[in-house]
Amino acid sequence: MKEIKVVSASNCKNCEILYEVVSKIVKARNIDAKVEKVLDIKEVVKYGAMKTPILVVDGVVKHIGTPLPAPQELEKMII
Amino acid sequence: MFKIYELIADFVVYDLLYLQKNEKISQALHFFIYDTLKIFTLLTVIIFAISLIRSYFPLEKTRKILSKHKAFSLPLSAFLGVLTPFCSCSAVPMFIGFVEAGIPLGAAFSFLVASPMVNEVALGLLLSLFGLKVALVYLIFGVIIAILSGLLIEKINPRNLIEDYIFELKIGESEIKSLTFKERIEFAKSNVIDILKKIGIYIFIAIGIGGFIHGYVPQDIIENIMKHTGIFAVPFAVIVGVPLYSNSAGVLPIIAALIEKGVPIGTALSFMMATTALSFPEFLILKQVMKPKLIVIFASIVSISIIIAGYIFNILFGG
Repeated sequence: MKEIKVVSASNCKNCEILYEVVSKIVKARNIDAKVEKVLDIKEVVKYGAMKTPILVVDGVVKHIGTPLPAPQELEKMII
Repeated sequence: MFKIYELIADFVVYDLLYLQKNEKISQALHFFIYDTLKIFTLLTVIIFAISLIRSYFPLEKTRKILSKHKAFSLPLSAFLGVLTPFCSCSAVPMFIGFVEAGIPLGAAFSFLVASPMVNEVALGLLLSLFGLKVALVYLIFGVIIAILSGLLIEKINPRNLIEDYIFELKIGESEIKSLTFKERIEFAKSNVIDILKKIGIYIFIAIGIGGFIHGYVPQDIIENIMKHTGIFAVPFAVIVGVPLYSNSAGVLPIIAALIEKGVPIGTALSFMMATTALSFPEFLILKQVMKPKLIVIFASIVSISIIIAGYIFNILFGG
């Protein structure tokens, strides 16, 4: 099972959007994955980021900051 | 340059709707059509251009430049703040990133003022409503306020008002993705769409109210109010502006209509500065890294600078 994390320092709108879009893709594509939202500044820093939100798939950073990638691109990042 | 919009507005109001030139309704409607067309075209062009420029200055690059030139970091960070894209959700990681790179605290605060304050929306709205001179003055004062705020904050030595843990965090070196020109265009385009989606409706309604003020509110009423309360207009604009989130800068067309009727222009500039530089959501985010006392000090310093700047604007553009 894949572990997908949306990491941010605070629950801002873009983090919300990223979390929702990723969850939708996982459901629609029937991907065996756990999607989790992590709101902790220490986590953000751990990934070497100064921008949020961060998309992490199985411990690998796939995307940092805004603008968010298009859903098709997100799908590629997750699968 | 905007003759074409004038003609379109003329055509709709006088030819399509058969309204008379000196009626209030036709003046209001003409204002509304002309301003909507003009403001949205200009905003699109300006946001696009500034986003494109900003795509060359990602936060990581700015941090690197600042950490190399610590001696001038304060003015440099105010200046780079103008060029670096900013999102208030990222204020905290940005702050930690700066501290971790050894950039002085004052400079981090300068950035925190300049980057959100002098942004594409503010410059776009000011340019389309008041012209180049006002937009430039805004930019220059934005940088000066950012430097001054940074200097003052450094003076009070805020180290013990900042949570200890952020001095222990280590940020990993993240690579700077170099974008192709096509990707930058794409970035600027999506920024335009994002921003217009967010503030378009406010601007649209504000132009509507502005049109009403333009057509229906007599000049002497506003002049009278300003005569009695005018001196307080600037602090009032700041007090109203601070709690509002930056999207609400979209209400500027209302203020533009009021200025036309006699409200001094410094009021508009102060309002814009207050909504963009300071906001309650940002304070809540900053609370993760600094004590409330420091947030209050920071907000007070910036607010007072903006009020003073507002009075200077009124003197500069007085009349």
